[in-house]
Amino acid sequence: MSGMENMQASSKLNEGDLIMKKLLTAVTATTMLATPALAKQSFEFWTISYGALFEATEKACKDFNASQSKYEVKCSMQGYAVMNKAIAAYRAKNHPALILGFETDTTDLLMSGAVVPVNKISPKADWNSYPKSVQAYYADSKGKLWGQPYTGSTLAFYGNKKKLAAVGVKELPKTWEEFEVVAQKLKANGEKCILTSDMHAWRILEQFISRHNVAIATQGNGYKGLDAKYKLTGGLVEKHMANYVKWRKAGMLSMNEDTKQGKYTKAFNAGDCALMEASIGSYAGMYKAQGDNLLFGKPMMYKGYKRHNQFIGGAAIWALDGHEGVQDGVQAFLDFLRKPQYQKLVTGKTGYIPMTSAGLKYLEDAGLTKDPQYATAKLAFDLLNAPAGENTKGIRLGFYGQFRKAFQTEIKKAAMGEQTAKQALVNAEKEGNKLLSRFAQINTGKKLP
Amino acid sequence: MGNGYFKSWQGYLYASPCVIFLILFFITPIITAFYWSFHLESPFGGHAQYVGWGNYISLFEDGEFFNIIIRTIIYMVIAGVTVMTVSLALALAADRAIRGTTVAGNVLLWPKAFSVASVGVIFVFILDPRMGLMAPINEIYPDFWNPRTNVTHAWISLYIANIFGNIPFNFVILLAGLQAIPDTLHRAGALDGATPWRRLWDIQMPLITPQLFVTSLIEINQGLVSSFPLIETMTAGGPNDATVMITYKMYETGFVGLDLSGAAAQTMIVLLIGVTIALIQFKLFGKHIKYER
Repeated sequence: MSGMENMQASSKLNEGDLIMKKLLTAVTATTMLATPALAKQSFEFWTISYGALFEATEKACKDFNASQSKYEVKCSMQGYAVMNKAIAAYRAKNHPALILGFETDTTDLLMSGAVVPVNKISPKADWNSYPKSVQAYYADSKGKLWGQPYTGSTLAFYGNKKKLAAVGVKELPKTWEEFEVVAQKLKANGEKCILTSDMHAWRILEQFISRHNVAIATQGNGYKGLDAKYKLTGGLVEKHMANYVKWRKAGMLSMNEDTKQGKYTKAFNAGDCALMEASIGSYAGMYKAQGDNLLFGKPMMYKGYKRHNQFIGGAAIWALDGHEGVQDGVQAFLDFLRKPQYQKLVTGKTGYIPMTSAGLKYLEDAGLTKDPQYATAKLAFDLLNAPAGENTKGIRLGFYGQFRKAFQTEIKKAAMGEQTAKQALVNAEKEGNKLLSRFAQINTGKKLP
Repeated sequence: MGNGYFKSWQGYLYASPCVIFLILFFITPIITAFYWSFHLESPFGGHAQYVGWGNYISLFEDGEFFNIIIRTIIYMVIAGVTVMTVSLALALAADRAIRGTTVAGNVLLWPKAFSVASVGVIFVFILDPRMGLMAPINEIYPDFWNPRTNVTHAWISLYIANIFGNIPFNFVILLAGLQAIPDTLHRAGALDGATPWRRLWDIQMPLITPQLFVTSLIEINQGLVSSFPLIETMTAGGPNDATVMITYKMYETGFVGLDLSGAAAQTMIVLLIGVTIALIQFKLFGKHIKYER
């Protein structure tokens, strides 16, 4: 073979080699790319698609996956109907390992027989780092946490500084009795919207009874058994609801329907209303709209009542059974989310509060508790850490979502003058008891854990 | 198929996608709901107890549920009649070839492109008492128009949105029926001195009875089905539950309350209402329809 031929031959050989090499590289590269994903065991986490919350959660998921060589979490937005989708998926045996459940879903999840308690998944975690009231809401009768609190909120009281100053009031009223005095002044000053509310049971009933340590149902608001019955009449609840009815008639309370915007928070943000009871989670939006004109503080009490802890609102992460193979990964992810920096991430994005004392301390150490973005954390911890009472653990009443709706409808009817507050409460009791007995019937032979 | 052009298996093959779809998404859920309606199902399953008619009995023990059914049936009838009347008026106008007919005929089809829920959202804005079309009047006479608190106004809002969303289908069918009427009949009628009004009742209406029957059959049941997205987006059942219809109640029971058996029993009742009303329509009007021309 001449040199030329040799070269040609070798070049041909080389060509062949090259193609082979390219192929090999491609195969290797694909395998290399694929290997880590194959090696990682994955599990799903279904979350609520509330924009800012999902952004925070997505970031946490990405960071977790980057930190892990063994497990991968697939976080997906499922709209607001996570619970319904989880139920359908569970019945089809195709459910995720983790779901985010609203506080109203708690009783249903506890009774579902589908949940692996988080305290069993992470037995060594410092669950006592959560405020006692938060633990009580998501715990079984032995005080063990079943869901891992993820987003937390509670009720706060907001005021429009300028409107109050116009009638010589510098601070938010502390009691409902003081409120009546302030409201009269505002009314005399021609104020059209004094206190605004959507009359949602979470705001005007649950948060109210917890801080006043009053029950709405027997058996410790259902904690002691499924045979609980609603009791709304004849006590402080009736007095308070009668006051709401009276205040609307007197032009001192504006419901959603009475505001220009059709929604109490929007009306307050627009500067139309003087006072509002709303979730601490609404703070960020309000601060944006009102700036230094915004006053915020503790929700009002009736004179003669000692302040107790308020219920936690928001959502918790629940582990569903059937994913024992990835339990270590689930544990690692739950531990990861409890880290103070991820609590800060959720707080900063959403206005929810950090959930553990370590999370709060992290904000304090960083000097952030005065920052408008995080300013409500301290207040919320004070409200949640107030002394506990026998009725301040939470709500364990079946079909509670439906009761909330019935309660709101009845009390709004009363506020619109169609019936008295007492009639409204009697009707809500009746409807609620029907729901409870149906819930007990569905769960015949079962007990609250 | 019998003429040998198609082999019988081909027929089954071509029908199969539709049949599979119907079995999966219509027949199976109906059977499941039927089964659930006689059991007490716990949400996550695995604990069903047979209760016979228990779920139905507890529904009807609730006086409010009876009101909801009556309310739903009244809505179905009024919604169907109003949609058909407006559509027929528009179709008649379009058929008379007055100026702008082509454009109008085109524009009237547009609402079909919106989902019912979008129509609801749009009308919430248009009919808002403080920021919508009626706001200036409300400034002078407060609460002249307030669907947020006034039950009648809330119902009117629902009917308006329902009419808007359902014009296109009825309009197309009725217009096609009107245009198929031979011109000679109109001319003959006109020669005999019949006024347009007389011709409407004696020529047009009798000749479009098949179209009227089809649209009324579909429209009245459509009122039942499309009521849910309208209520959800416009009134949320309010003011104070006065506009809760059975489709919305079903959703609240099943999706908010997670009471699957209760919702299943309501589903069966909805099915019964739909079928009964359709049967009544067949019975009352079926015989009077002239398919021959």
